[in-house]
Amino acid sequence: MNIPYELKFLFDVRYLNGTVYKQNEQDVSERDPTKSCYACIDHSNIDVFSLRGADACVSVVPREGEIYMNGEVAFRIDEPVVEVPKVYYWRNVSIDKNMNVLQVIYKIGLSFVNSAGKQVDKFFQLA
Amino acid sequence: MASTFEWGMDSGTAISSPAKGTTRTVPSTIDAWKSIDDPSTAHASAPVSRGENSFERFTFAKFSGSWTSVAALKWAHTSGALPVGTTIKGIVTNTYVTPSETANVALTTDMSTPIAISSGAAVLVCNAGPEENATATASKLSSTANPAYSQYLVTQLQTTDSAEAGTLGAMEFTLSYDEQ
Repeated sequence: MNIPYELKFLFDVRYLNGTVYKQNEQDVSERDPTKSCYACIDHSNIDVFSLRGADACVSVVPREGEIYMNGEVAFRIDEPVVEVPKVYYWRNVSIDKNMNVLQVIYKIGLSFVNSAGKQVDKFFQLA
Repeated sequence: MASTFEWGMDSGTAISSPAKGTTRTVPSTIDAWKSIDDPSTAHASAPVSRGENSFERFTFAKFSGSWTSVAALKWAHTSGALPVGTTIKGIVTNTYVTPSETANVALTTDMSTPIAISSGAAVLVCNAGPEENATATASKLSSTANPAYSQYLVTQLQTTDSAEAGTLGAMEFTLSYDEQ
């Protein structure tokens, strides 16, 4: 039995060389059908990672340490980091014993290690 | 789409090492505390009598389909009140024992009162099955191996002689997880 929910938000990735990779609606990797599209991302060459839905778009620019909400800067890392920040992307699914999906929350943002060596996750939640 | 999620349950005499149930049912579609240890008997045919307990239910989650990583599993009773004289006891564990109607003192968590899923019990991810002898290392807080399983989510309905007669109201027991 498949999880009875459709992806409300789909991601796309623009790489530094200008090419674009888009998540498909089935969320199945073209390389490995046991994996989702997230496994196909080349994380070392991301320019912009965007999560798009009908009424919201959140974009993450790891090399700039910025998160944009509908085109406006919503967060910018304002402290030294020890390496290029990484994209933070998860879907949180809550499901009850009767197979009812109660909630799907999309989490998108940045994960980075600050100068004190602490991992910091800054993300927005979309439902 | 994305991950394929199924509930499963083990029942019957404990076999093998590490122990698991004689019968593994995936998907498990009947979800009720009963006075019989099997995956198929309807609750109405095996109700729990006042002053007695249900057999423990050894439920687990199975993830297959397409996903890259599954992580941060949590388990909780999230809504629905229990009547007077009844409690739900539970534990998240890799240990399977042959279910019985005896009050299981190993079920150390009183799950009778609903809580937010964010405060739920942490659940490890296992690759060999819910009986896998997993400990809380980073590799078991998430998994990229497919398929994957939760630990056993064990519950038992316990009642006293003062329990009200009738059917339990609607309750939600929720599993929450992150996936990529």
